[in-house]
Amino acid sequence: MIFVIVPLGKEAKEVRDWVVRVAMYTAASTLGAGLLAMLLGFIGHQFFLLSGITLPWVAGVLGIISILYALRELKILHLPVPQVGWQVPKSWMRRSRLEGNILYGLVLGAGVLTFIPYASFLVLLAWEFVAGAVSLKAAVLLGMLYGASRGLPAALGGISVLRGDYPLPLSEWIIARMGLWHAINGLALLLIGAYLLGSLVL
Amino acid sequence: MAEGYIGQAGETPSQRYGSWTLGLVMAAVASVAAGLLLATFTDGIARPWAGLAFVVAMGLAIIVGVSKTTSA
Repeated sequence: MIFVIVPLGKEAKEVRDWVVRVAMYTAASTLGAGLLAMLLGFIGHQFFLLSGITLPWVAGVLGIISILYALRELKILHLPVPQVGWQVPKSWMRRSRLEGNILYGLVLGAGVLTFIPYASFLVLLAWEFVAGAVSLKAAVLLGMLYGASRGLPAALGGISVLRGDYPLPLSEWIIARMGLWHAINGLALLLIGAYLLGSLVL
Repeated sequence: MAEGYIGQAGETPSQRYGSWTLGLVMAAVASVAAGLLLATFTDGIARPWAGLAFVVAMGLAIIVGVSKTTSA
């Protein structure tokens, strides 16, 4: 992804081009994630209105799901992660790189159509669904925060170019530590699961 | 289980665990700090899914967002 966003050069025009494209990618990613969160939050709001299910029940279910997926991320339990697994096409970049980056941002920001390597993403979507029952703003804010976080590595890749580094080491650094990302996600899910289940008991 | 995650990038075990620890701590600190900051701005929304619960959810959103950049 970094190579798609980052131009491999440091000329003033390229830097300006990079800043614009990273900014647009991040904005589109934030928008895409926010729109999906709004949809999930709206459906969640209607669901809770019609079903009459109370939030403590949902907190319990979400807590159990979080712990089960935490065990998956920590490679203790084998659980499937439902996903479409589609890959964004390179052809989107042909007409205009800026337009392509915006489209990438929208689709990758929403995140449900593409590869889902971390089960914690599903827990986040479930949280947006539940949060929508109480406040649509809360659901949207969570989605936007997730979307904005997705733009961070593109910015890091660009900074590494500005410092005179080729971004490949950064990309390799990220990919070589997939285990670490899974461990962090597993730890976060464990904490969240314990927190949600604990809120029912305490 | 931990052995499953090491042996990458040609580092010594101590360096690997060092980067692990640093990564975990930085992610946790950044998540909680950003969550607390945003929770301050959005005080009152999403009760009872506000306050600490919302901070936790924000931390999750950041961790998932940064992690997922390894995919396209």
